[in-house]
Amino acid sequence: MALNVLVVDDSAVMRSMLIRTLRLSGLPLTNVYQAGDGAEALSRLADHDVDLALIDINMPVMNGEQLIDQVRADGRLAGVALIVVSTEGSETRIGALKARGVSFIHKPFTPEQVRATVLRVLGVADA
Amino acid sequence: MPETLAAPLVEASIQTFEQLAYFFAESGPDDAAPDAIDPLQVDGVVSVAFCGLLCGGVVLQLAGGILPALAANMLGLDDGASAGEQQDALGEAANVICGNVLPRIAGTAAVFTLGVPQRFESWTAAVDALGPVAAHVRFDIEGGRADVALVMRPTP
Repeated sequence: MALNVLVVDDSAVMRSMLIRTLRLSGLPLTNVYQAGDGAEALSRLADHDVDLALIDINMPVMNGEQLIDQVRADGRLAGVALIVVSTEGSETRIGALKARGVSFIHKPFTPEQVRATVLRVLGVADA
Repeated sequence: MPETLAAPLVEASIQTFEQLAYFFAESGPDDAAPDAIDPLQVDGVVSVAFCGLLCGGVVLQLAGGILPALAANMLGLDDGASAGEQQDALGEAANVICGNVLPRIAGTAAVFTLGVPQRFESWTAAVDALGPVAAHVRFDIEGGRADVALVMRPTP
């Protein structure tokens, strides 16, 4: 397994932190792409093969929920696994996201939490 | 200060400082108001507004030179973070505290909309913009100081 990952967050610091956490988690990363909002993310997805997108919710231009809707509506992106990474604490809203086939990682996160969620989403047993 | 609001604010703040920046925060003495700190010692002030079952915001002020370390720790840098990265890090810390304190005080069924982090020149300016302080907690962190306030106003 080698992963191409897209990290979508309007905070450059949070993107860097998440990428560092992915590396610390020991997941096999090949390419890591970044986007500062949903529109940029769609552009990256059009240009690159991506296995997994980690998506913030509150972003300018196009927020995370709008991005998820666009990805889910595009059959060419059906193979992209989606994980929301957010401070969201409402089980109501988290449940609505999960109903759209999206997993959830809560900020702040640990490498262990990120690894476990990514492997579960990809259907891979942890070694 | 209502204990019912201060306790969850302490929990959310400590969790954020530890997991986001590897800062081990200790509750500090309430011996000086956050707006009484020498402005030259203040690293930065930021707020994140929220609205839902309750409306208000979280104000975060760092002082004593700990903001560069916060940003560097979040980024995993040995060298210092840029000024822009420091402000970004401060805003994200406030955002994470806000997102983590709300379910503690309103329950996990409540839905809130959070605003983007807003930078302010002073603690007073941030509080004046948001509303009355419902809870304020202070932490000693690596020789510096962090103040966190939960501001709430009547739901429109």
